[in-house]
Amino acid sequence: MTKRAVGAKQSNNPQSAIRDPHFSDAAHLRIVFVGHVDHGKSTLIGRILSDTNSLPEGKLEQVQRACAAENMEFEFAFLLDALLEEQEQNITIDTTQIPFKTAKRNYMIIDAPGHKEFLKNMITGASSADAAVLVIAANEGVQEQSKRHAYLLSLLGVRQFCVVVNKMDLADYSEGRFLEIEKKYRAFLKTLNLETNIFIPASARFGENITARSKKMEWHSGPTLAEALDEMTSLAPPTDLPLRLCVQDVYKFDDRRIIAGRIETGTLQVGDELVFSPANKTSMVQSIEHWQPVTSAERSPRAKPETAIAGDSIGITLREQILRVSRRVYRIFTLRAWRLRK
Amino acid sequence: MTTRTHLDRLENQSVFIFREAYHTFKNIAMPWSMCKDSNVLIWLASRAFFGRVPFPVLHIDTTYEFPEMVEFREWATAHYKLNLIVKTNEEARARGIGYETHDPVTVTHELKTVALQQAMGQYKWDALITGIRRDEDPTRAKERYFSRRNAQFEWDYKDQPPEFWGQFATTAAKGEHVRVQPLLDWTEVDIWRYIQRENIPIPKMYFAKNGQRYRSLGCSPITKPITSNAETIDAIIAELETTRTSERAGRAQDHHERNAMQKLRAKGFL
Ligand SMILES: Nc1nc2c(ncn2[C@@H]2O[C@H](COP(=O)(O)OP(=O)(O)O)[C@@H](O)[C@H]2O)c(=O)[nH]1
Ligand SMILES: [Mg+2]
Repeated sequence: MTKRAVGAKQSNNPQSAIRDPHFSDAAHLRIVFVGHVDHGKSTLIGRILSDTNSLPEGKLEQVQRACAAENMEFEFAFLLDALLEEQEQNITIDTTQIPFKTAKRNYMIIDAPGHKEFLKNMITGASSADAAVLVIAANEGVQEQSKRHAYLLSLLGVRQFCVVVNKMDLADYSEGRFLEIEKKYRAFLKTLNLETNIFIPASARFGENITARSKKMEWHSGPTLAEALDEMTSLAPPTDLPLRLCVQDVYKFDDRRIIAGRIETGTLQVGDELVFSPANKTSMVQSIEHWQPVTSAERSPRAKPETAIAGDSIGITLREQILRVSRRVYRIFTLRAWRLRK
Repeated sequence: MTTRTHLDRLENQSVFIFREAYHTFKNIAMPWSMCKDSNVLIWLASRAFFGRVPFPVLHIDTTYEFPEMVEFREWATAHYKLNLIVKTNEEARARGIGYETHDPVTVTHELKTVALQQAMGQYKWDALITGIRRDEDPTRAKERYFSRRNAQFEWDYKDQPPEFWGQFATTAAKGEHVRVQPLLDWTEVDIWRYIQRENIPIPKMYFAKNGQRYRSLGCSPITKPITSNAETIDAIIAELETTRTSERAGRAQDHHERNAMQKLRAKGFL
């Protein structure tokens, strides 16, 4: 656990932790846990949060006490399944997002429900993820939702993932059982054009191969779950594609006529010639508009931007007005990109 | 190519949500408690709408407000040129509802939730912009950016609509309203880093005085300060980096009983 030691050192010297841009301000990896109902997704997350000291002080004890008081067996899943209805039925109803960090970086963990009735909630959680963890219980093996969730991930474009074969304690920590599931699931993933090299045998309940390497499964040479997460990368904004910007609104608060929207792909610069679809009219970017607050002017002045990239919510003015630009129907392209398309 | 930081990504996402809400709903208001999060909301709205907040801000005045907060309210209203509406549940106060005699859940419900309902009845807003964050509470962790509340203010958390790729469920029937929540993805530390980066004005009570400061600000009788020497934002961030106590630990109404927060929120509490 050398990694944890580094993290602890950083927080003893918080000044350096704050100033290190990679630690504090780099993009956070958004990771979703999916798989068949009851295969242990919520338990895995609860275990990771608890084993990395990411829970608020006393939270674990509080949930344990509440369970004892009501004669319920404690479940790590209750750390996430916070709704009374979820705890009574021992099931995740809706998706939850919880921040968490390792020594390497920050994460947003997304727990998704595995029951087919809550598929819309699974999609809500998975759609914003950079990466996924697919959970399969060793005793039950590959089930209907193990397959359906992988299929949905491929549809949503989440291509980075690893597979956890959980509940290995119920399979005597057997390498044979693990390899059997791996082989079967790999073959299925291939039919979806999905691939991963990372299959992890684990037990969420007993904390095997979650943050610490398991002594019961020394035959496993791959990473623990925490190590596998640290190897994943967050998605860069799609700046190398042609510009696409959907008009969100047009503001006329003062004498400026500002076209507001978010750049979906590509980049935009002052002076770019734009095409407005569906009218096929063109105009040039006069300015990228910007609010300069009074209070922060001398302390942290933000220069008026000259360029913007995918993911930026911006407002622009045009050199020649294009009348009746309205929301939604209007898409903006760069002239160059548009010519290429024709 | 210029890169974007985590804070840039959060800011862009929040601005996008503000603009969707402003376009979709004719009649919006933004509750404003003068706490750090709601001041970040005002800042983000100013970014989204180029220096103005184009809808009213609502302060639910429980009459148990800290004087410093009211002072800040007056200053900020003038500074940002806000259209401020102040609402108190006078009827409940007249009935004698108060922290001196009642439990915090009852008082919070009467003086905050019911007061908000009264204001909604009066102004007929179809959307409210809130400053809640997923990291504050496990039930808030399950929220959507656009979340409908029925006429009784109830949240149907068991059957929420799907929400992805910037598509939001924006319809609300008559008498219902939609909560729009641009800060869902932010954490407490994100909020502080952003306040620091942008130099956003906030009430002084967040900073340590005589070894104490407030981490979360609610009504004065039920909000307890924490022991702290953090006099600057840098020091506050450093403190948060090492603490493991939850932010709302000093807010009595959350801890009154198990799942108190879920019960409060199902009944319309923000
Ligand atoms: N034996 C064993 N039980 C587990 C393990 N992980 C989870 N469980 C149990 O499996 C049940 C379902 O877990 P949960 O996390 O709610 O599953 P989810 O539906 O995938 O989120 C719970 O009773 C857990 O205690 C494990 O590694 N070993
Ligand atoms: Mg679950």
